[in-house]
Amino acid sequence: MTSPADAYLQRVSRGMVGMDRRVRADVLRELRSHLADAAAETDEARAVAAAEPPAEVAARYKRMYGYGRAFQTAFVALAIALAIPTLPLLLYGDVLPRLANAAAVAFLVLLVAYLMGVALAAGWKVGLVAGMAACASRFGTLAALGAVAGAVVPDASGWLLFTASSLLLIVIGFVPGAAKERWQRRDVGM
Amino acid sequence: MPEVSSEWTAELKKGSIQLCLLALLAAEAKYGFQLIKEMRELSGGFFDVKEGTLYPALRRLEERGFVRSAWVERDVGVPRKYYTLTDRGRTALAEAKAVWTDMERSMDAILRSSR
Repeated sequence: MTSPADAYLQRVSRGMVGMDRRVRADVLRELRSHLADAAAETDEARAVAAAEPPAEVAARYKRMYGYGRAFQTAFVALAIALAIPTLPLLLYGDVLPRLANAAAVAFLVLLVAYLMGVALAAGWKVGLVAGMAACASRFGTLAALGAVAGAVVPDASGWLLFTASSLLLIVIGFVPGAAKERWQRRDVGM
Repeated sequence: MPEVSSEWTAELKKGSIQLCLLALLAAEAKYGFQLIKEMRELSGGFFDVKEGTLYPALRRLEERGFVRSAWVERDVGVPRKYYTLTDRGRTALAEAKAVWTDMERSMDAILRSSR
């Protein structure tokens, strides 16, 4: 049977998913040590009952440390992958042009929402990198399409639209996270 | 019902916790639970800091280089993480104490004028 302290620490651990593994382990080890000291004065159940709600404790550490490198890399990788179908790839298959373009626009909307979510959850630095990666991915995909299928952007306005929408992804990756950081109340420190 | 909001009191406390921690660590290395107890006892219960506030505050002090930590194994019971004041922390403590003394003097003068 799981002890009250173990159950508490499991809940804290769940709330810190995505953080660097070593930091997370160290936080849990320190909280376990704290609960053991508190339990020595009363008992384990009371020590756990007197502790702050695990979700709040986890959220505080998550705000402090953010996501670990593995999750940050995954966020950027997914941005790169999502940016690829924002070009009308289906035009080169046996699909109606209107449907191919609609699919590309749908993926673009999805990518924008994703980048905003990343920026808000993981901060402006990760959002910015994800936005830049998505932008580069679009240019890379276009270049690849040109090489493989002879795809070209038809005119200057097409280039303008493509470049502007690609660069906008960088802004979208940066702004929400920066705004959140700016407006969020910060802990008072020395 | 008090006119002064609990948030204001909480902010005052929050802004003072790091100074309290540096002061408590000035004499010797201490672990988290010990710091919580000492802070509560020395302040007559005014600083009743929870673990979710204390440990992040200690980690911030460590990131600033004001304290360093080390796990210490024990013969009985789980290991404890001890925090020690660094030279930078000692300098920061001296500076913060000077600021605190100035503020205390200033506030006292202002509050005395209200009597």
